[in-house]
Amino acid sequence: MTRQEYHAKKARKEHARQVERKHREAAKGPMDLPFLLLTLLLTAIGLIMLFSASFPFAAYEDGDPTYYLKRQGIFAALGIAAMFVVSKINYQRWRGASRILMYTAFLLLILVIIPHNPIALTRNNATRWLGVGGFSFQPSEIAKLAVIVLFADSISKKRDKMRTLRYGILPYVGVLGVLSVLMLLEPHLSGTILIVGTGAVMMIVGGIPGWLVGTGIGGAGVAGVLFVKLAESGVIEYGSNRIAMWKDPWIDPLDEGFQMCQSLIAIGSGGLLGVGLGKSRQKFLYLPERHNDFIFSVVCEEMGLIGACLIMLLFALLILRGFWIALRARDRFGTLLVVGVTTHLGLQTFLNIAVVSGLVPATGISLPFFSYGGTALTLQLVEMGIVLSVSRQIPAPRAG
Amino acid sequence: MSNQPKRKSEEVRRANRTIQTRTFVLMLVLGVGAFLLLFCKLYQLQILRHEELQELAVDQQTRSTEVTASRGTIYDRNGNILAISATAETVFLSPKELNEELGKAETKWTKEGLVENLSKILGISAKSIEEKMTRTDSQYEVIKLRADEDVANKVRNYINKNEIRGVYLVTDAKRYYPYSTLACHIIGFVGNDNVGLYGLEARYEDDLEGKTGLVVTAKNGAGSDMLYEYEKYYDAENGDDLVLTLDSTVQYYLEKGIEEMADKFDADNGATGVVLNAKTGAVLAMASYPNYDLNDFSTLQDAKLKNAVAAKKASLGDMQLRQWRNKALNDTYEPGSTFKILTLSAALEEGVIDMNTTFDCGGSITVMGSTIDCSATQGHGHQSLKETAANSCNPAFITYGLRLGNEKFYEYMKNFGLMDVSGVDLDGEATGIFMEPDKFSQLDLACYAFGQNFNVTPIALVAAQAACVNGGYLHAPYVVERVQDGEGNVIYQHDDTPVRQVISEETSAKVRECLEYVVSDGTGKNGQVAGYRIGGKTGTADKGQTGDIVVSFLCFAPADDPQVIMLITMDTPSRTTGTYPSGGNMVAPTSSQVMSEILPYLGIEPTYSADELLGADTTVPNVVGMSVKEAVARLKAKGFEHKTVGDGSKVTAQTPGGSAIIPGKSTVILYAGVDKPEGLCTVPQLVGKTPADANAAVTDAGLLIRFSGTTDSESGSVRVLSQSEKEGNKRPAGTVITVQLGDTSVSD
Repeated sequence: MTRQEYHAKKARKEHARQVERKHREAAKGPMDLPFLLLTLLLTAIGLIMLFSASFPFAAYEDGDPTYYLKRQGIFAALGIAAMFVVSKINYQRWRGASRILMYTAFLLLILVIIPHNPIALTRNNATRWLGVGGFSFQPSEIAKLAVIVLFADSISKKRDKMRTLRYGILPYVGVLGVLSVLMLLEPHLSGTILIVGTGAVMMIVGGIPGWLVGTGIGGAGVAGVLFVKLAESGVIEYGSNRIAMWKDPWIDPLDEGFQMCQSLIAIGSGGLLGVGLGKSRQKFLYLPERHNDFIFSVVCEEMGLIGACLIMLLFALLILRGFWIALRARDRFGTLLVVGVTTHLGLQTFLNIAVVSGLVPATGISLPFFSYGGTALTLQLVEMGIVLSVSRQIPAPRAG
Repeated sequence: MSNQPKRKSEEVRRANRTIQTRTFVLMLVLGVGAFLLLFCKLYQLQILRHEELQELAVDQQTRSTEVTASRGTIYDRNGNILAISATAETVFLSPKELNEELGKAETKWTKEGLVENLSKILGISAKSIEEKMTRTDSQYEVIKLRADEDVANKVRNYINKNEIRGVYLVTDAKRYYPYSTLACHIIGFVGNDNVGLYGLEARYEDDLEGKTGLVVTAKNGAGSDMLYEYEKYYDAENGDDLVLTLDSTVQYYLEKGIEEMADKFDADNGATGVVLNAKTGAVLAMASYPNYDLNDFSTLQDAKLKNAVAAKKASLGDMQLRQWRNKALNDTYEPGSTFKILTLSAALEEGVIDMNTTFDCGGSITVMGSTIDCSATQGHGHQSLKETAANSCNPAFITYGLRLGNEKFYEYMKNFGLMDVSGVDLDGEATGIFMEPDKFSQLDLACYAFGQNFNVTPIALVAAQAACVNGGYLHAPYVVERVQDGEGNVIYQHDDTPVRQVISEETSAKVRECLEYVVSDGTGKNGQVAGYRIGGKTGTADKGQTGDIVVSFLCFAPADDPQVIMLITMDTPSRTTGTYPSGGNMVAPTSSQVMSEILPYLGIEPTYSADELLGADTTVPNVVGMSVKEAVARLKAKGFEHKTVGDGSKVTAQTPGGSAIIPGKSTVILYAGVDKPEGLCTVPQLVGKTPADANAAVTDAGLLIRFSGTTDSESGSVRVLSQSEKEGNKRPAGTVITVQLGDTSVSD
């Protein structure tokens, strides 16, 4: 090693140390308080509503009305702790974890669909869970996080190359394609929609050519309408039932349309002011999935249109604040990371409420912060932590 | 080297700009657009479709149990119950369960035993139970609808004792009519579902039925009760009670009268009668014959109707409809001469005649080339106005009508309410049938003037006739005085304000004078009632060209201040009963009998003339122990005749005994030293005898006689029309036999 080399090395080391210090300094900024408060508020309201929606079933089945509340509460506490830890981590470190996360996700998704796998759990004709003992989780939740982190890392490095087919489109389509195939094998349509949707949005924001965005959105729209029409006319067998029940659940209110009818009855009977917190009648074994995917129907019944709108407003504010953070992030990676997390949150919230109110055909999407599900809640809060960590590095507005 | 960073920064800036723009658009789409969309959908569901969806929610979340309301009671004006609901129980089988039970080893009862016992307790045929038990797919087979409570209790004891599962009782309400046939056409009846089908039961259904109560309990999706109690009670509201103007005693006398009359004269098409309060239009009684038992309304009561069905001349359904018909308001008829009251009233009111008007009747009158005969073909000769009424002289009344003129006459018929329903609060009232006003010719007017060629209902006619005699006030007849709830709070009270005044008080007084004369000296003399001033008018009307007639009599009392007015009509009496077919001969005696019973009952004081006073009821003095001479003097002082049996000097016994109330002028038998004979006296045959012969026959038999009806005993044609005790009956000595006298020579 020559002296020159030594000096160069020393200088590089010094530079690296400086960068590291600078990063540390930057990562020590204040968390975005509105985003944090909205997150905590929604988590708290979500827990209250979960208790209200779940206690009758819990009492009938387990004899303990607080069964679901207790379990969800533990995960909420874990999640909030995780959120704070993650928010302290310099989000640049996620770059390194992105590939590992994605490989893990692939591995777990393959594990789930291996036939006769003893730790893969099947519920309602779908094998989506891995479980050991009393603990179970959906690998697709990991996949969502992996896609967000991987895409943010990769896209942020590509700049103009995003406009090319080879670097900007194909790799991402490839990843999303493989994930989709794995998840549709479970099958898990709603999860696939969320991951593909989030990934596609990140690609759009990341800078794929404008004409492609237009064609993509247009093409998806045409495909959707075509699918609905074909399913309705009976040309396509798959999903035709779902489409028919979406159009009019009352044609079979006791079987296929039961869940939808009960949800509409719950929402409709809430009226403007609702029947009062805790006083939902539909949750008394009428409404299926009352503490899972259809928890928002109970919210509508108990709190009325006013309560439902207040909660939607909290979600909207959280999402707006998320994008606000994205727009102010220190670098493209931060922006894309927050865009991914916020898009995921926004898509999931919209689709859940749209499903329970019959705006779109039914598919099993849970409501962030509200629906029962420990890993989902914890991971949701971890994602919020990522946004918070990005918010800490927002450069202070320059004076003058 | 210097170019590269610049190019790079250009590229970075562009990439950053794209990200910023697209993120901003995304922010608007996901943070604002999406939620606006959701808001619209929720608004549609929670505000626009709220009621529809809430109804569905309540439907599925609640379980409601019905609580039957008790149907209102119907009272007559004195508080007697005419219709009341009581608890009853319907017995039904579940053949499916019974069959399953029979297959079990631990079942202690047998099918044969069950059938036999149920048939014995319920009084139904074993066959019908067996037949129902064969339907083993069914879980509900009624074997006895509305069993009385004591019967239901027996069934309950039986099934409890033998631990039978599959025989059940459900509480129900049953309607009872304590007076069976009384006022059946007015009260009406309810069907199997306890909903009124006829009469007041149908007309006042809304008041009587009450409101079914509900117990609403919340239930969960699994069908059991919800965790927290949620119960709501909607009390059953019992039906309201009706208090009628009807008086069951008056009703009874009227029904008895028309039934006897219709049977006696073998009326082909029944009879009907209406008694109104002349001053208010309140219906005191309204009867129609044939009648039926309200507790068993589908069974034919009348022999004529039964025979028609048996002879297959008519269907059971048609005959049922016939016995349910209230002829007083469902049917119209040509009224005949009783209508002359209206012609008289209108002509007097318009001044085309007055009390000094005279008329010479030559036996017929020619109008528009047609000759109309008078009932007296030889003519009535010279008559005063009162005499034209008393003789029911057709040419005279045709002349009065023609003097009024077509328009005036038509207007009066309208004003008397004949062109419309009377407005009585009962269903199915028919409207009169009249010639169109533009086709109403002089000849029509001539016929109308004596009550032919048009149709009216008895109820509308009697309401108009009441107006003629009560001072001119037309009232709508009514049956329900008030509707009240169970606590007696009045919910509806009839308002008896008259519809209009048709004629003046003065005219009405003149009409009363003429009509009193009809009864005292004319065709209505058989309608006389001792002690009362009666006004009336007879009627005998042709039913088209068939030769059949409708006979009727209208009367009111007291004649100077009418309290009650009664119209009785009989449709198609037989011409072969030996009685000259006319209202005066056939209906007036019945009217007299009914009036003599209801006027004292209604508290209308009799005013006897000196002659009548002697015949009025008197208390027999106790003369036992007195000397015969003294006893005879005492009896004479009281106006009694006497007959002495034995030749003792002292009265040892007397018939009737002291303080008995008997008709004046009756003969009291004094026993002097002879024992009063034990045993009973035989009632002799009296119908057709003169009053004197009848008196002698009754006295000889050891009984007493009371005369009723016309008091004009000087007329040679007065005969006994009916007697209160049948010939050959055994009665204690001194029993009073009432006989109805009538002048058999009157023609209308």
